[in-house]
Amino acid sequence: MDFYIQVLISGLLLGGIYALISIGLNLIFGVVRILNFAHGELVMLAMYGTFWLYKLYDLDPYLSLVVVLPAMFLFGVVLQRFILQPVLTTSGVMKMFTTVGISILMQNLALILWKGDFRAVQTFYSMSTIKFSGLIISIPRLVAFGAALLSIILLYLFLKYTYVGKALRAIVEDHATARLMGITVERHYLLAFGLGALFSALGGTLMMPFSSVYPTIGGPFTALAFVIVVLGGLGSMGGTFLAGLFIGVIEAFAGTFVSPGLKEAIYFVIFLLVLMVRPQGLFGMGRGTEEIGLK
Amino acid sequence: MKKLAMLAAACICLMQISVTGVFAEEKTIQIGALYPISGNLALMGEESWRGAEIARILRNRQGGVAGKQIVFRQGDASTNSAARSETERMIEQDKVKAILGTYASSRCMVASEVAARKDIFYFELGAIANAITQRGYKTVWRTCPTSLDFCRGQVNFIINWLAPTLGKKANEIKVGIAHEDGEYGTSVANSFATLAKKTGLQIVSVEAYSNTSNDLSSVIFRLRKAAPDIVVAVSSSQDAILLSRQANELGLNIPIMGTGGGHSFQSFADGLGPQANGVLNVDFTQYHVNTKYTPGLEEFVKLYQETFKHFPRAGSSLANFMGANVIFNILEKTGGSFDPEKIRKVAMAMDIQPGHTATGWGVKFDKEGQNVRAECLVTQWRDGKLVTVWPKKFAVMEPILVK
Amino acid sequence: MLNLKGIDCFYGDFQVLRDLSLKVEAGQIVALLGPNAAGKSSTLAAISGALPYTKGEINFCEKPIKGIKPEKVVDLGIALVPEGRKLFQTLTVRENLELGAYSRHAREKRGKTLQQVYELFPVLKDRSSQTAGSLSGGEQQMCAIGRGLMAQPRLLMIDEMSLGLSPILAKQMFTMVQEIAAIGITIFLVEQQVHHTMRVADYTYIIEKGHITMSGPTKEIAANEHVKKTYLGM
Ligand SMILES: Nc1ncnc2c1ncn2[C@@H]1O[C@H](COP(=O)(O)OP(=O)(O)OP(=O)(O)O)[C@@H](O)[C@H]1O
Ligand SMILES: [Mg+2]
Repeated sequence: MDFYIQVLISGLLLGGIYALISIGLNLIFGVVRILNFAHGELVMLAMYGTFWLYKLYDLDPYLSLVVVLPAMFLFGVVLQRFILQPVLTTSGVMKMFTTVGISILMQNLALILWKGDFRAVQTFYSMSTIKFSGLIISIPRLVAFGAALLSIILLYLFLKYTYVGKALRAIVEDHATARLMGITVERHYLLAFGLGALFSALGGTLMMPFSSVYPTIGGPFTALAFVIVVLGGLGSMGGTFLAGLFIGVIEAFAGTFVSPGLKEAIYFVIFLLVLMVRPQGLFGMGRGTEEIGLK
Repeated sequence: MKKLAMLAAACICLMQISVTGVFAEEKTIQIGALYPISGNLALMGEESWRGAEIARILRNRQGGVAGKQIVFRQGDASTNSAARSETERMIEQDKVKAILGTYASSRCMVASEVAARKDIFYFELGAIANAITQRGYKTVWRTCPTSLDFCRGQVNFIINWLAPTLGKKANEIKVGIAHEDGEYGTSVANSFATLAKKTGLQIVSVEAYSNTSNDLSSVIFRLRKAAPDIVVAVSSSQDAILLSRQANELGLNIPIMGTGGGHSFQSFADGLGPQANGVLNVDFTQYHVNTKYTPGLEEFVKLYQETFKHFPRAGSSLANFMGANVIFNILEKTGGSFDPEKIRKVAMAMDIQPGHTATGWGVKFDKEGQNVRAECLVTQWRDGKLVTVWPKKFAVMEPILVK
Repeated sequence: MLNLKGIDCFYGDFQVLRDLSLKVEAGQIVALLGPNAAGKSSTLAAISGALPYTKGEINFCEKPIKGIKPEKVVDLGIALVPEGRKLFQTLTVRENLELGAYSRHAREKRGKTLQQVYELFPVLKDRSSQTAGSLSGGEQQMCAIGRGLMAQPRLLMIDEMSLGLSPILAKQMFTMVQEIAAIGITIFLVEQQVHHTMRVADYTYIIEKGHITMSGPTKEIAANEHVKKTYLGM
């Protein structure tokens, strides 16, 4: 029994991080209506930021959030303003090419600037664990999970109760009508992209104490985030969180009881099955999935 | 990505042309150098290239080959299809008569086939897939060990050191395998399992995982259940760190032995810190080794540091250095000629005993073009350094058992 | 107050508005009537800045508003209640109303405006925390108009208010429009529902195939034989 609980814990802790990264993607997709194929690269960039702050200035990864989060927010804003905004009114394929291009460019810049080396930070708490009744929980992973939960709640409250948050939700539903209300849609796009980048950055930085960064680390995150966002329902933040946990747990159990090599394949199969039964995703509002060709 | 990489490659080429442009064509010896210098294999691809490059610089300083300066024509094997097209380009446009490379087995398989069909020599200095020299191509040669040699090194160590240290017989030793599920990890793990079973070791668990995975807890859980005496890991890059970290996190108290790849990177120890201490590994010759058996190693490191401003990042550059030197020696003996018959004759006649090259490997090619005197050494991470601990003649420290 | 002069407007090659001119005088209820696909909604889109026009100009309070984006047009005091309500379905009634006041000049006073809207449509207050999608058709239309009022417009444009409403409900809505006009908001009504519209409108334009074919005080228009036959079914 303990063993199952241990696996479950591993899955949940992993899922929290997944949710955090995915929520940024969902926000960007929901508001800006752009499929950001460079999403994993945002995570990668934040991880490198954390690494270099640690390496050059001896800054603790958690403290580096103070620098990394605003910087990544700004990076997202700039990306949206100067690269994506100009192509927003073009075809879906064009937008896709643009974000894929950004992703490839960022990977290669990382490769050129920082080489293919994988880099990790060493902190005194990297390996620290909590042990009780035969269970082991990694502290940095627990911290990441807690932060994921907290920030997703904060995002939820922000969207639910602030005026700007409501405007963002209105844009998610219908940007043309939102405009009629006097909502400056393009400016809100900047905010949404900035926030999306910020959440990915948070995920990336929180992972640094227990994982390494290298130029191509982003790709799998992009794929994973797509799966989770679609599963959780486009535009549904709570759905994304639950779907993140769901995928994390599936991954842990499939990896442990079927085969570690197959865990990605297994969650992908489950993803497709869920979509066949519920095309709007597990918690989705039923709109939007068709836009990425899944319906 | 391609564009940038091409641009970078083009720049490198241009630089070389401008440096060497003063020499007339016939006064140089042109050799293709094919490595993945962009894409996801770029790190070790470039590291490997550096080894060959140092050999080239050194040899040119000493007067070149047969009185001619050596020039590399670069190719970027960033993907398998790039390996193919770059090989074709080097042969058709750059008119190279021999190519060296490649670091990655999959790239080598593709590129060497193209070269072999056009009767162009292909010297593999760093890729280890057994199949490379088993396809009957007369023009494909390899100076470095094969993946089977890695496994031989590990099995040899487990039987001759681990078993006695644990007070067990070889057939009482239980081995768990964790490998990345790409071609590299799978083929090496298979060779190891086959060899290990032949020698009576028990394989109690084989765990494949994706090397892009960011969580290996399930691998650890499964290994914990199987409770082997040692875990043999075949990791390609950051998965090596992840495996050790999560082994620690989740209380897997079993020694881990890498198989080159991710376990040989300096970043493994840098990222893992003290936790890296005691992790075993088998690989090409590394730098903390008994230099009496590796003449030329110190000179290589010195020139490497002068050229690239830091210590070599992995043993693959040394292996490529050694291999490039073997090629240069062959070409020296043929008088700079690429005549297939001459090269074959000179190569087959080569007979260098172990302990006389920078890697300590001897040189003796078999009919298939494989250097049968290439071998892998067991190393161990000790205080952030990968020191050689086995076989004894290469060792600079005694191995220790860290769980 | 609002003055359209010689507007030409295209969807690709298709010309939807042809040399269209009309005026909305302050304090009046002005109606734009016409059959399906005549270009009524397109006229409103042109005014609100959502649809660019190739020729002509639009002045609001003597100032040209050509090229001003929709989100800024509402700042000038022109609010549009779009065809089909276009409420934010998953947002609550209250949130919908609040967002109506997003423009700079309306934002500060939105609390007060909200109370006024609630007074005008008490049912919206009862439904305030319900999602807009769960409202009945009539309630949705009230919510949409309320949302338009939240912008504190000087000119309120309503597109096909009666669409999908029962005759009784439609009648009530037109009475509401008169009440709104009474508090000093100029109203531009776009309709196919001719009877009710003519009951409340001071001035009427008829649009056919993108062109104004007839205009005048509503009484005169109503008396016209052509109008009687085609629109009033007499
Ligand atoms: N976005 C568009 N692209 C192309 N054609 C359009 C577009 N919107 C409207 N049209 C066309 O322009 C013409 C006028 O449309 P508009 O919506 O202005 O008519 P309307 O008078 O409001 O009709 P209804 O009473 O049905 O609402 C129609 O023929 C319509 O098909
Ligand atoms: Mg219309």
